[in-house]
Amino acid sequence: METLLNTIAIFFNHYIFVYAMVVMLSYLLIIILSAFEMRTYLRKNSNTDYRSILVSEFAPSVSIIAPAYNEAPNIVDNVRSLLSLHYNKYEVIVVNDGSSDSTLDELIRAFDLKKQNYAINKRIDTQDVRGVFRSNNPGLERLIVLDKENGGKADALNAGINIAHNALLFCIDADCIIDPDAILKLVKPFMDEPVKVIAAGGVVRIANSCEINHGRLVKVHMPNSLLSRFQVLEYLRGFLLGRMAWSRINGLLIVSGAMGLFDKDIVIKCGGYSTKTVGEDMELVLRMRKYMHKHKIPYKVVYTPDPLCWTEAPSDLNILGRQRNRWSRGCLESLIMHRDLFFNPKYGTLGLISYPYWLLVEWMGPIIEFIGLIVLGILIYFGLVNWTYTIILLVMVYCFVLAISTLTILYEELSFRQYTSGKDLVKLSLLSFLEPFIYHPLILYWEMRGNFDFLIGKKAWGKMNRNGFR
Amino acid sequence: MEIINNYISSFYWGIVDLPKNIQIALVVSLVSFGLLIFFYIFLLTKRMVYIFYRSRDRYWNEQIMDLLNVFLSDVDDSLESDPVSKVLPEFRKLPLHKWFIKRMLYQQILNYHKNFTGHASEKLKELFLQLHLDEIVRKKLKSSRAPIKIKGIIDTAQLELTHFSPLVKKLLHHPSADIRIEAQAAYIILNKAHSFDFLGDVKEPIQDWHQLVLMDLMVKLNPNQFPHFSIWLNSENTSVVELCLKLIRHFQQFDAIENIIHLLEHPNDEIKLQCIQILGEFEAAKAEEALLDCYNRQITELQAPILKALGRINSGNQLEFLLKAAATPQFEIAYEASAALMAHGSKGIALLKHYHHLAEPMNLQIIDQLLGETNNKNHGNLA
Amino acid sequence: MESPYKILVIEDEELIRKVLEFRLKKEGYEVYLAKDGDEALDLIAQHRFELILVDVMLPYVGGLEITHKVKSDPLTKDTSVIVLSANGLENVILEAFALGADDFIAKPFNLPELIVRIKKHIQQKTA
Repeated sequence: METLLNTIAIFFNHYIFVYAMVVMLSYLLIIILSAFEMRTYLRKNSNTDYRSILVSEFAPSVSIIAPAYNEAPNIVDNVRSLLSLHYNKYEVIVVNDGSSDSTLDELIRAFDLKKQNYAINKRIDTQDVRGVFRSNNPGLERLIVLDKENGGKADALNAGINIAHNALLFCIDADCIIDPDAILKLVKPFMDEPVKVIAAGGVVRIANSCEINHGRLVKVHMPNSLLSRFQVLEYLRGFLLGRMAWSRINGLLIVSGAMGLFDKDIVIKCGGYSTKTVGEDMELVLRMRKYMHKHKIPYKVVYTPDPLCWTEAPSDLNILGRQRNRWSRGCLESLIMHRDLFFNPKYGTLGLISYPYWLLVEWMGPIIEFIGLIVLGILIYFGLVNWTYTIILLVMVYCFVLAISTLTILYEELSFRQYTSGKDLVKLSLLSFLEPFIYHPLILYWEMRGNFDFLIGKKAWGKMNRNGFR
Repeated sequence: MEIINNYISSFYWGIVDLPKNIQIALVVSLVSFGLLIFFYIFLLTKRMVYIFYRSRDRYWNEQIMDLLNVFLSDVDDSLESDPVSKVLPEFRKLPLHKWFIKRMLYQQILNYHKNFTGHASEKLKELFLQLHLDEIVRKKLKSSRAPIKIKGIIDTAQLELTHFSPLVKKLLHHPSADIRIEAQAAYIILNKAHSFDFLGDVKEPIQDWHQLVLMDLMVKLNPNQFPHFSIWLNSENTSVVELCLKLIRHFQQFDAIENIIHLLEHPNDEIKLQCIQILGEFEAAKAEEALLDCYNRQITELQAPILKALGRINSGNQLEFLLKAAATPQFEIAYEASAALMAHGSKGIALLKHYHHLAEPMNLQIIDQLLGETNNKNHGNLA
Repeated sequence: MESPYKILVIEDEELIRKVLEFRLKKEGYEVYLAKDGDEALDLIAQHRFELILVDVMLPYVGGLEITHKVKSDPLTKDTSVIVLSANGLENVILEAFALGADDFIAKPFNLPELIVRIKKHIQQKTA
């Protein structure tokens, strides 16, 4: 027994340590890449007059697709703010995905909608469309409301894609608050990159406790609930560090489901969103990338660090847990569906770097950490652990994680400075100290549950309570 | 001293004895901790600096704007013969030797110039020159840093500082695409002959964004002084052809129709599409034959626009052809053909209604939609 | 002395707000400023304005929506509304007139011309 445990201890000490080193080195690389990307973006756009895109007839036309399910408290406000975005050539397609509440009625009433005869080009298969509505009000020409049988978010998006008239699709969550300049900022990469851009994403920020008036963001505040605050830090790290770095090497695997701008033609050629996975946003980008590789067309998936979208983060443990569980399952589903990418040179950066990283670090990381903790527990139980060494190792991880979080806060301060009050900065710093002890274990648990649930075959989305913004 | 030495050496030997990974762990911890402290100090200083600059800038901005507001009133006051000379001493009283104030004044005059037209705009330029702020522009144009150079070019174009035209000319073929396009756009403004000759020379693709920048400035100029963009339609550079087509379309250069008809045979699908669309928008009746001729050789994505163009041309000669197309099972083709028939007015509508009871469900839906939309328009949009 | 006429300027660009405030005050009007739709609506609820100058592209409640609100409320429908818009947005301008706007001016604009138009609208109303 003792030799077995000793062997495990040695294995633990060496190989997991090596794994940890590799992960930390990758973080260093990410920091360097994201710094360069941020600098390039800010310099490139320091002289950009976005207003010229606004009024130009050369600007591409955009179709906004906003699937909505049981959003009655907010839907009118949110659609109104979508109708007054700073852009000229766009249409807003709201898809009512068979809501059981009064979502559709609210829309019909507020916008004076009338059902139309409409021929739908069923390029992608979806659940039945029950009706297409447009407004009697000539000032609301941009708005189209689609009413259909419930089929889930991916299905609703596909229905919207079928009737979209423009070349670019802006797929969003109906309950997200979109910055008025979002389309202006996201559209620019489609016009000024030397290769074809197939998808563009922006930063998603946390809207909890921000002042919101009629679907518009008025003032940014740090959220009140501790749980939401942790998520702020997490989102900042993920978006400002992670995605910027991946964008730099054109290895971005995911464009957030909350907001993304896509080339409609490619989306349709790929068959639209998949209804077979709960991680439909990541899965679509993977498929689009594979398509471009297969047809040997040079392309790019870009990312702008501008805060363009604000979303309500779950402030309740249960709901957050369900969300993370879903993300975990979605990620795993996509990874399995596209396992042919693994170290496949035919797919360039995607196959050689992005996919392996997602599999071996993003997915396996929490599992290894979990196993490590269990082994540590066993060793402690058998009194085989060298406390000095263990503490030194744990201190190393803690210091490293703290340094990364602080760097994130620094990035935020140097770039977009959304949290302008000194108090908010202090709150963020305190959070970074507490995170490894309070938030991280929760996330780890939910990710493990997600993997477990996937193994036992759980498929659903889980209930998301819509409180609506106050 | 001895004690400290002993302590340090025992510490050192203690570390050297440790296993490799623990050593590494200690180093990483120390470095991370050090960086942590450094980041926080950096953060704090940045914050404080930001707060300081903000209040300082606000104060001076107020001063400058007050002066400029008074200046603008004088400009509009017909009793003031020389508002620039009147206000100049006031501006000179500002501590312009301080670089940040001079820069603020520079930027504010530019902002004002950007937002107001007419006499105010001329006088602001005069003030700008009298204060020798164009020296700042010169410095920017000569800067080695791209964003600064570009700002210099943009400002030169905005104020129409023609004496910097030679400097801008040097940048017309700069290796950086961003600088090149701004220089090209600026050169068009500075050089009143509206020189578009660069379109003949440029080998690199002109990106969509650059085309937009060019277009943005061109709409402010007098279209009568533009060349016939059709001269560059046979360029080897596809982006030049694209841009020229867009310009022909926007400025309605109907004389280009013949050239565009020839371009229908161009290998690039994007260009073919543009040509088809323009011929439709121009309602070019003489293009009808060419369009019909090439119809069968095109992919679906190009056939639909051809049908749309035929609808706009509205000659009335292709009704049978359009009806056949309206009956196909392919949605895009059926839709555009039906819409084209609708565009032919009562004749086309009658044909569609006649075909109505023979139509497949998909085609039926299309016809119903189009008929419905026309009804809405005719009855003044319900209400 | 009769109370001065009240003008509301709703514009998110600070420079234009400041310049208009200065000039209109010089002309003898009482000037109120709002940098977005929400502020504007608050002010409209508190005061009776003779004229409102509103930028079409505002960050929150759009300029068109404000025009619509002002012109459809019986208490405020007599207020003259002049719409400011970036050059090139003809469809937006048409929509503004459809909602009841009294005049429009494109940016960048000729300042003395705008002042003259404002004066004319106010004179027409009070004549």
